[in-house]
Amino acid sequence: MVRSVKIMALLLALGTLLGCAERGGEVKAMSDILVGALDTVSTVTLYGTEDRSIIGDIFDAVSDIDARMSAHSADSELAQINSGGNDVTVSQDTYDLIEKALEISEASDGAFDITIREVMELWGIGTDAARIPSDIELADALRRVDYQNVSLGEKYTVSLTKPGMSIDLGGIAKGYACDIAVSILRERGIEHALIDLGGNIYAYGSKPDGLPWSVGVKTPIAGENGYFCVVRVSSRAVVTSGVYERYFAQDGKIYHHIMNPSTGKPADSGLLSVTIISQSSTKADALSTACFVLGLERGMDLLSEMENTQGIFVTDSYEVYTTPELTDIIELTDDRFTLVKEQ
Amino acid sequence: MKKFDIIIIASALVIGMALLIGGSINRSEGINITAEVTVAGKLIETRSLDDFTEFEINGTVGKLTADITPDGIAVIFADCPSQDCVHTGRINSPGEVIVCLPNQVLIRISDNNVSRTEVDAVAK
Repeated sequence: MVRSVKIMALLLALGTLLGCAERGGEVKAMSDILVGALDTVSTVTLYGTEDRSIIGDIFDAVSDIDARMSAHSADSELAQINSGGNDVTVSQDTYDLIEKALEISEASDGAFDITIREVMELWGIGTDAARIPSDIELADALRRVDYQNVSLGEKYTVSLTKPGMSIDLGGIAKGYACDIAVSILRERGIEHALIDLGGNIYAYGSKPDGLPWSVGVKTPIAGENGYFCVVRVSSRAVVTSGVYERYFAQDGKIYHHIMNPSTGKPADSGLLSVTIISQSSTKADALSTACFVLGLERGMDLLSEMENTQGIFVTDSYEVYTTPELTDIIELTDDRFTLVKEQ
Repeated sequence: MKKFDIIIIASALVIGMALLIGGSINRSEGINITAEVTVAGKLIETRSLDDFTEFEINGTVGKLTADITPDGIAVIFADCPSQDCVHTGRINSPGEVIVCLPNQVLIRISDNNVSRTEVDAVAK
């Protein structure tokens, strides 16, 4: 009897060993991809659940945000605002997001500005009509760029107070969609998940083994696909804005899509990319653009005013600067880049 | 401890070790990294990244040309306006994607049989 118990115990131990060997000790993961919504690719990976309807709900929410907030679709709420009417009634989501965008515009002294759309249209970066606009065209378009001319009224109404102006939530909608996805995960009791909305990452909870997630930051060089550093985070959004994604080249010069609202030209602040780490993906999305436009010093100043918000700035001489909290947890993985630790 | 117990323990250990080693060999050997090409959500083809070749992909509105080199797969020509897929450059790590939105083309490096990449996600 005693012997058979011993054998049982050994077999059990062997079974556990086998189980680990088979599964590599990993919790089951489930992943799905959505192509097209918000002009990008969205991937959601859930751990420790087999309920695929959660991913379906997230993709429905992302598609819904796209339908309401796209500047390109003729029947979106944004298109109605841009058609020039006064007091256009929108959904609370759209209203709240515009309000959030205006807050960041205010905080960043207009470096992030949803009224940049007229300038973006002139450049046409990402379309076959991409070109360098003339100074006169830019000066004309810039007259219609000013976030202070977006007026929020009662009960979810929005007005644009200058004729011909228009807004585009492209610089913040992905971040917002990410936050909505996070709220769905929370409601459904998920503990570990990764959301990737076109490179906007939300590392939700911890990894299934309790360790923080390792999130790489893309090497900010056009045509390269690796990452140059890794940060380890739990329950944080990691959002990067850089020169490498949408651009066109003419006469050997690269014209990227992050416009400086005060010049109407691609931001030329000496940076290759800015990455923001924050609990709010909406905030991280808008701040990454704002900091990119502001440049290293003013961008760092802006972040120092924000709670629980960290940043990684890469200059065009491949120097990497971070907010103080990050210096100890960032790991550089590409020796072309140097981490500058300030005293 | 009786002789029989020792034999049982020893053989359990040997079998256990063999399984563990065998398991890890299985995972590190036979790594065949592939690129899956889907158009409008339908899997069109799966290409091994060891198959260095150039091939065309028929998208929903136009054509793309991709090639596979020892450094991975890239779209080298696309007749779409944005050229985002060409600008993405070459990919080779599991989970990496190249996308052409106008053509609804998604090229994804498959992570079958491959141990996890060093990072869980890449912000871009």
